[in-house]
Amino acid sequence: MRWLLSAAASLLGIVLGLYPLTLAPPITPLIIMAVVALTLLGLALSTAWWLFAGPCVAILILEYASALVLASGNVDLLSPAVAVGYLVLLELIDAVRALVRQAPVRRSVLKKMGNDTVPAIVIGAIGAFCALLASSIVSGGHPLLLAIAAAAGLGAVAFAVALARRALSTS
Amino acid sequence: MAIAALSFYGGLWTGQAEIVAVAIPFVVAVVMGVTPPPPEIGVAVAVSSERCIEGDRLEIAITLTCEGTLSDVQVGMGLPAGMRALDGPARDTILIDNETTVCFEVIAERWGARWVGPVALKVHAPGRLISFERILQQRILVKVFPEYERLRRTLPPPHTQMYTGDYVSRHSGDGIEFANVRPFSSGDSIRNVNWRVTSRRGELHVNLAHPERDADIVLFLDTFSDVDLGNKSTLDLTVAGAAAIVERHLRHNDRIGLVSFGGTLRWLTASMGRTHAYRIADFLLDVNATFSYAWKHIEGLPRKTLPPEALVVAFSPLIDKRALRALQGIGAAGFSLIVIDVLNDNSIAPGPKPEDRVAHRVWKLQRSATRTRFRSAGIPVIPWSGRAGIEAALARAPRRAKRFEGPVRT
Repeated sequence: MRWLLSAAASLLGIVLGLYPLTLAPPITPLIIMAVVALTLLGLALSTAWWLFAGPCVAILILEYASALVLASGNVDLLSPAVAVGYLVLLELIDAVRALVRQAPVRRSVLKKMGNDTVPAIVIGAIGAFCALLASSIVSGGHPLLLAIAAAAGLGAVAFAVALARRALSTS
Repeated sequence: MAIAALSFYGGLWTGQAEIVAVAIPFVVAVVMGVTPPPPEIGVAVAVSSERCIEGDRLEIAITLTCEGTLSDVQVGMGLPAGMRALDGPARDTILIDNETTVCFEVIAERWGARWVGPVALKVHAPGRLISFERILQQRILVKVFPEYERLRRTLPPPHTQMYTGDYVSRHSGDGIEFANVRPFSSGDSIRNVNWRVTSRRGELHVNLAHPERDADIVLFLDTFSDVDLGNKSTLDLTVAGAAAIVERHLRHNDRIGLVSFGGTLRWLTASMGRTHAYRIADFLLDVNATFSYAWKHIEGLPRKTLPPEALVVAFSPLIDKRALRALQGIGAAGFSLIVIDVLNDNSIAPGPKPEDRVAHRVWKLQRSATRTRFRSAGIPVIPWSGRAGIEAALARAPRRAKRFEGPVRT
C-alpha cells in the first residue's frame, strides 16, 4: 500500500512540477525550483518525514506563481485543479507517513481518511473556481477589489464548509 | 495553514488570482480540520486469562465504544516488562463504528505479577490537522507463574516432625505401616489387638506400626541481587528452583516456609495444604531484588519462620556479604543447611581489557574461596546454572546434612 501511495504521489508531484514549465518559457530558475521540489518530494516519501512535505509543496506553489508572473496575460483556467492537486499531494504524503511512522493502519482506515478528504477537495475546487471567477469580474481594478473578492469567495467557502460539516456530523 | 496564508498574500501581492485560488482548498481543509469537538470514547479491557504460566500466550481485547464513526484512531497498549506483543508493538490504527474491539496477542515471557495497561488513544480529526490524545488507566493484573520442573524425589530431611506426613518413622507407634507384634500392655488400644497371634499364643498381642512423620523445609531466597545471565537471571533460577521444591514437598505433605532475604525482608511461616500452596505462589510472584544498603540479620525474622530442626535450602548467587553472613548465622544456629549457588562463574564474561580479565579471575577465585569456606564449615554448596534441571543438582545434595563445624569467614 505504501508503494502504491508513493507512486501516486510521485506521479502527481511530477505533473505539478512540470505543469508550470508549460505556462512560461522554461528558464533555469523554474527548472531548479521543479528539481528541488521533486527532490524534496522524493525525500518526504522515502523517509516519511513530514518536514520535507511542507517545503516541497511551498516550492511547487512558488514555481507555479513564478510561472504565472512570467506568463503575461491569460488567466490559467486549470488553477482550481492545480490547487486541489497540491492538497491531494499533501494528503498522499501524509498517508505514506502514517503508514510508515504510526501504528499499523488498516485498509478501512485509509479508505475513511480518503473519504474524509473528498469534501475538502470538492469544496476547495468550487471555492477556487469562485475566487477565479470573482477576480476575473473585477480584473483590471484596484488590488483592494481583488482582496474583497477573495474575502467574499472565502466567506462563501466557509458557509459551504459549515453546511458540509453539519451534514457530515448528522450522518 | 502556512501554505494557505502564503498563497493568499502572494496572490494579493502579485495580483494573480490563480495564486489566491491555490489558497482556497487549504483554507477549506484547515476550517474542516480544526473545528471538530473532542470525541467521547469508552474503553473496556479484557484479558483471556488472568493467571498463566511463563511462555503462555494471552489475548488482550480492547473494546472501544463511541457514538457514530471515528476514523484513524490509534490504540496503544502499555505492556509491562516480561510481556511482549507477538506481532510488533501492541498498537493499531482502527476505525470505530459504534463499538469496535482490537485484539493483541502477547506472550508472558517472565514470571511475576504484572499490570497490563494503560491504554493510550490518539484520535485524528478528519484532515489530520489536530489530534486528541488520552491515556486511560485501565489496568488488569495478570499473574504469570514460573515454569518449574517436576521433581521425582524429595530432599532427604535430617529430622522429621510430629505432624502426619509421608515419611515413615523407624520408631514404633501409631501409624499405618506395620512394624511388629508384642504382648498387650495396659494403655494399648483394643483396635490394635492382633487376634490371629492372640489365639495362637493364648494371650493378648497387639500390632505396632511405624508412625508417619512430616518434615519442615524452609526455602531461603537471597534477593539482595539479581544477576542477568542472558536469557535468565539468578532470580529466575531462584524462583523456578524454589517452585519445584515447594511443589514436590507440598505434594509429600511436608510443611514449607519461605524467607525472601534482601532489600525487603519477607517471610511465610511453614505450613502445608492447598491454601498454603496458593499463598506460596503469590509470595513467589512478588519476589524481586530491591536495592538497599541496610544490613539485615536473621534475628529480624520471627521465631516461627525457622522452625527447630528444619531443613533450610538457600538459593543464592553468593555475592552479597549480607546474605553470606545470614547463611552463616543459619548454619551456626544448628539448622541443616543446603546452599544452591545459582550463579555460574562462566556465565559472566570478562571485559575486553587485560585488567578486566585479571579482575574476572580474581573474582572467580574469591567465589571459589567462599564456596570452599562454606563446604569446610559443613554446609554443602551445590552449583546450579539452570542448564540441567534442578533435580540433577539436588541429586548431589548429601543424604544427611553435616553438622556445622565452625564459623564461615565471609
